[in-house]
Amino acid sequence: MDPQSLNSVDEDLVAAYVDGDVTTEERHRVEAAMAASEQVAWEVNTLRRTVELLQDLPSVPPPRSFTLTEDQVADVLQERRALAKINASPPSEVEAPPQSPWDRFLNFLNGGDLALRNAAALAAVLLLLVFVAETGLQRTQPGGDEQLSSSPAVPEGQVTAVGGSLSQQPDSGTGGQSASERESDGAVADSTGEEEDDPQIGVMSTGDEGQQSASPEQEQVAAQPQPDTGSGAAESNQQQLSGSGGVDSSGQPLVTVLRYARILLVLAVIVLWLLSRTRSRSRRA
Amino acid sequence: MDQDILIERSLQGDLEAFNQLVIEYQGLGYGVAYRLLDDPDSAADALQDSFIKAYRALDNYRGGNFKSWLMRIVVNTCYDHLRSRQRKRTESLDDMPVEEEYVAQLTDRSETPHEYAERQELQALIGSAITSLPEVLRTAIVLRDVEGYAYEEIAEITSAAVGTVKSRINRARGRVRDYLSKNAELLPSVYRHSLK
Repeated sequence: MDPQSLNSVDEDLVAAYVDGDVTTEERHRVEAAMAASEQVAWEVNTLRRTVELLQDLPSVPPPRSFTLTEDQVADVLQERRALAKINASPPSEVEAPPQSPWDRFLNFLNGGDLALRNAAALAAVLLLLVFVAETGLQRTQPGGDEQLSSSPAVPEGQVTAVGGSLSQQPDSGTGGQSASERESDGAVADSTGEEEDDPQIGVMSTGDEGQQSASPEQEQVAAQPQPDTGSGAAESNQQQLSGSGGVDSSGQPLVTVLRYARILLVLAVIVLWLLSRTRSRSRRA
Repeated sequence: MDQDILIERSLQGDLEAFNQLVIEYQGLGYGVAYRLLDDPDSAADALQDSFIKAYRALDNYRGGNFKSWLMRIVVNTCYDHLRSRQRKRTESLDDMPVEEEYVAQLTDRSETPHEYAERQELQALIGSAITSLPEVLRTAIVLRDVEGYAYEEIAEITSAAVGTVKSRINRARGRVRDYLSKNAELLPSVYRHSLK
């Protein structure tokens, strides 16, 4: 049948009418055409029967799964995965706002694992306490700095002897002897009168101007008790510098303990802080 | 999972996400391919090709109705298979497709062997009527009357105006009716009389 036989009724309207997808006005129009023409009525009715036959066809289930394997789309898959990796790079690294040096410093201090960072801080406080204790202990020891600085002007020969004993620690007696030898050298220089300034420079180096014009007799007097005094001062100084050769034998083990504790605490602070940074970095990764 | 998320993940190289879409639409796709090609093996091949094409072309998907976008690929792939088959086809009555699994599935235990045979003949006749249509009319009637798509969806799938779709549907129905009328002895009596 020729669709043109529908006369005034358009074929798309007939399709919609058969499907029941028309407005009331359109339905009246088609039904009026059907009433007016047997051919139009036959056309519409046979089409409706045909649609019923088509709709009765059973659905056909897929015989198998059509999911894709990686081999089937390997090239595109690799491309997309590579692209996704590039796009997945953390935007914070790229878009991070510029920070001031102070902010960066604060971030640096605040960074790292909290527990380890606190442990490092505790170790630092303990280190400070050990320092304080160590210093206090040294001050209370006889022959310490305090004693040296508060003592009245030390005779030139004495101070020179101290210097001698420091330069020759193993044998303090020889220190005294060498000092006396130098004094005698100075006397020889004075007696020749060739270089008057030399002995003065040597005296000035001891830091006692009051003794600059000391006569050779005075020097000899000062040099006589030198071996005893010089060796005592040297001992106290040696003890102070080495921290072990103290006069007070009861403070010696405590100083040693404190010194080892100081070393251990310094190491603990460094190691704990580094660990806290490392752990924080690995967590971020 | 949301379809848009699956598409997004597929675009990032997640094949499992795309396969979830495949599982969701393979039934609809196979139905269309089977009715357009009237052959189970060709339909399966065409559908597999369609999904591969769809995955490759996913970058070109610009949102909207994914089902329509996918079915357009299925329909176009079926056209390619039809043309390829027409070139290779050797005329033989033995080529008539008979799918054993399909037949078994349609068996109604309450019907007699005679009724079963009649039903098989009717379905084969309707299938032949559909395959006798030009591609555009075939697509229109399969999508509308067999698969139940809306006019708007068919318009989207076939890239045609809704009015054009309706005209094609009406013409396709008229041609199928005429084809069946010529073989009216195979039709159930209720249809045989009404189609004459």
